[in-house]
Amino acid sequence: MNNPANLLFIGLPGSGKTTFLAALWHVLSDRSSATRLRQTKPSRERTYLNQLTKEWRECSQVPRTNLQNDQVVVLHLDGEGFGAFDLSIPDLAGEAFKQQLTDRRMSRQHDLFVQEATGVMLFLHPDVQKGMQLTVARRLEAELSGSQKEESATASTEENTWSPDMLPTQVKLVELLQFLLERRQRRLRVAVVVSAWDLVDQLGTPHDFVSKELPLLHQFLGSNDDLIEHTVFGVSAQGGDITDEKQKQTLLELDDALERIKVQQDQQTSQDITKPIAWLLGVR
Amino acid sequence: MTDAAAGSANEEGTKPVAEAEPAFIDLFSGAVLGATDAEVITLRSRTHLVVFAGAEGSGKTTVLAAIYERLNQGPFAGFRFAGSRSLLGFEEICHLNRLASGGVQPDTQRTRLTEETKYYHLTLRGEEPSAARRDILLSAMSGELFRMAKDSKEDAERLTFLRRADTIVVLVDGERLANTLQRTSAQADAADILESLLDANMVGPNCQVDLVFSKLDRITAAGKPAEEFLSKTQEKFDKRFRARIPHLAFRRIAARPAPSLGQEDSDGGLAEAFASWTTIVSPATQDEHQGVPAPSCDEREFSKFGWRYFERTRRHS
Repeated sequence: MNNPANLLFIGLPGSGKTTFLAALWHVLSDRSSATRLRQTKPSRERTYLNQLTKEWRECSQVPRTNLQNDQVVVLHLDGEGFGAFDLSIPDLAGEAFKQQLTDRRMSRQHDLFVQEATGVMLFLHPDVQKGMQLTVARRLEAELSGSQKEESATASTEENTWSPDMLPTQVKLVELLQFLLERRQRRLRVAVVVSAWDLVDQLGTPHDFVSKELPLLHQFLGSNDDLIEHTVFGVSAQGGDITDEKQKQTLLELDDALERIKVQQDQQTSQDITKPIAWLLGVR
Repeated sequence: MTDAAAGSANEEGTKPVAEAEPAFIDLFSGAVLGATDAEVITLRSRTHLVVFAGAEGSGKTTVLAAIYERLNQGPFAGFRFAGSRSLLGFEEICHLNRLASGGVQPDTQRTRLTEETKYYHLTLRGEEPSAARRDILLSAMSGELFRMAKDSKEDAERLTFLRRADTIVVLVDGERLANTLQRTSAQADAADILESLLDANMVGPNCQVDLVFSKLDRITAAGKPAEEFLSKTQEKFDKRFRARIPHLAFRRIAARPAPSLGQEDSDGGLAEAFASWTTIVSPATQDEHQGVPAPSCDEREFSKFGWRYFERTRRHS
């Protein structure tokens, strides 16, 4: 058996974990592009992976993992400077992480994944829930339309009771990382992956995005640099909005589906979706 | 099971059933902390305790919520956010000031009258890379609870946690101070709170006490007479308490300025205030707790529990 390595994908429902896995499997099995990591032999879980990748190739929504079908896939890889190794990645349901936040407990199986993880990929969709303050909302309303301000301010709205579901995205992600730190006794390497990167790539680098849109998470990662080593990637695994028929058609008409993939770290952009994994497993 | 019963079971050849390992591991609750959880934090590291005291509606919870909201937007008062054991607690007190609440006007949930004092936790780190982590516990005393303590020395002594406070912030309600009908009561309420604390020996020799005039925007909006009354109040408090409180300071803040005054972007003096509240006062030559009654047997037991818990859970970094 080759050297084992274990990655943990964490993120809320719809944050792009399974889509990343589908695109990764396409790249590894296609073998036509230059990537940091290559497949040495087929995975035993290829039936499951092929099923996910079929949807990805057809530009269909990759089915979300549900709580009943957590699946661990093992990829047999090598790469320059890495040697041959077996990489285990549990494809965990985002719903499980959501439940950790509301139920405040973690399954023993998840805990085991946390203990054994060589590195963590933290996925987030750029459409973040922000917890906007009323004063800010009112000011924005006023800026957008002075005439509508009075109407909006006096509109009859139903008051909502607070619940943990209302937590802003950045608070949820900080809490998930705090759970990891609570359970682990070792330093953690985290690759933050901003998925659907094509939606926001005009806003700067992935690092800039996290700093501006999720400042609490940004501070948390930076101020715990003795406990967490991190970097930020922007990953566009679908290549565009597949719910938009026109965009979907354009993506399907590409000669090479690899062109759909875009991976950005700082100023560097490539189509190598293995880069975040190579970063997590690399020797510092 | 009694020994007799256990003996009987063994005689019948039944083996004790191993307790099944639970399928789930409990995580920390994230809610506002009770005394036990707060104690665990104080045993893990040197923790700075800031207590907000004031009459009902003086703005204690608003100040707590505003500190957290500012950290949500980026580094604040020279600190970066490095963690919290009470994120859900913070989020809950911010709810009525959020769009998701469905409310129209910003509001703050009142501090609940509970038997146990509650704590909000922050781990912060200075903005310079070499800065060390700081654990901060913030506690707002329910207005009603304090009213009880104000009226009775016995009730004040029940609030033993105050003896550990590094900073006590007594809030003087600026809105009431700006109202000629209520201003004398507002002044008296704050003075009474401080008197109660001093009478009960709650203010340690190294404890920093800040008398904070809250809702400064209301004072400013009320004009010169209100500002003059505020200044006179400050002079009066200074004369009355300076000799008895070595580390006494005065401050004016607007933690959540009224939108109509166009000061939404104003810091309202909160960053400077927070930096001051979390500054460690140089220890006096005498022991920090000298002059303060020793903890009761119950408290010592409580601390031992906290220490044992810490020993079990501390990290091996």
